[in-house]
Amino acid sequence: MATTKPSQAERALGKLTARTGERVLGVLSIAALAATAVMSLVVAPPDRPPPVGQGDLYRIMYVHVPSAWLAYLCFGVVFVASIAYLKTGRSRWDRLAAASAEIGVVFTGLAIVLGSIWGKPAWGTWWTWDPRLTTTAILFLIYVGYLAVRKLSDNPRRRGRWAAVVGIVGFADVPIVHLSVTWWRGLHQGPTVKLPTITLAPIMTATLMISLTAFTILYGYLLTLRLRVGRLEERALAEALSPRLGQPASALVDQDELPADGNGRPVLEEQGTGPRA
Amino acid sequence: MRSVLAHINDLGYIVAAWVTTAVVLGGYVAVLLARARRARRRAEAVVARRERVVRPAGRPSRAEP
Repeated sequence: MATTKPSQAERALGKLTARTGERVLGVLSIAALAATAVMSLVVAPPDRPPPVGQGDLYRIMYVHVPSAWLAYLCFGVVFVASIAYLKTGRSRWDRLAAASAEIGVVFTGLAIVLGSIWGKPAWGTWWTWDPRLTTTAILFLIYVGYLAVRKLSDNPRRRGRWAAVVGIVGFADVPIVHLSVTWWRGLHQGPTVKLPTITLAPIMTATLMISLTAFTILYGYLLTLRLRVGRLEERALAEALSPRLGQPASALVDQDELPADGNGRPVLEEQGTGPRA
Repeated sequence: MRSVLAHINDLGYIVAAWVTTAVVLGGYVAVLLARARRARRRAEAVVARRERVVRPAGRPSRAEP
């Protein structure tokens, strides 16, 4: 199987996702999250007391807003990687999209749960069909669907193409979620940070920025870890298949498509255990 | 008294939110690490089994002294 030279972006991604990079990101994530906890729970002052402000309750914002931001970021990466996959056909873009989508689903789910915990004391209900909440729930379902689509085919190339289309089309919901508080009236408050206007006190803004940075570093760590899991799972499958295919496992890992059997079916379909990125 | 109770009530929600965040993120990292470990072991087991099959029983491989 002929291998092509990796592009500059792919080389940069490779360096970032090396084991050392993963460890550095892990340590940085722990430090940044610890700083976030101290800033959010101890240093940042409470809001004005109710009914004018939210008192201490607003501190949930420091985990809720970064979770939502990370969901946007994750699905943005899925969007870009899906386009790159359709353009180049290289499986590493597909693996990146799959890894980012899974992390995005975790953070979208977390943002919904945290919003619910905040909504109960603030609005008196755990859930309401507010435009922001509804569009976020739809976003969550779209990317759960994306992960489901990845399980539909054992043919890596077909699976990658289908998933890339869902990843590109599904991204259309992200701006809708973001602008839903401006377009429609609902219970959810408007944007807290809408440059150049920031409605928060400077110390609260600084804490929010630290929190956003910490969660972004955590995303970097989770992404490198998830990519390593994808590579290891592919390697395990390649090791299992290599005697049957008469090729070394290393030759199978980076192939875009594994060889087909005599009937033209991909060999993986016989096993029913396609490499899940 | 009422404001104190309201304050304690708010603290419960704040703690719930932060604990949920820690459990979800910590749990996800643990799941990923376990998946990585399992995949590595699976690959190593396949290689070891293949070597046992390829090498006749009782005969040491060239790598062994």
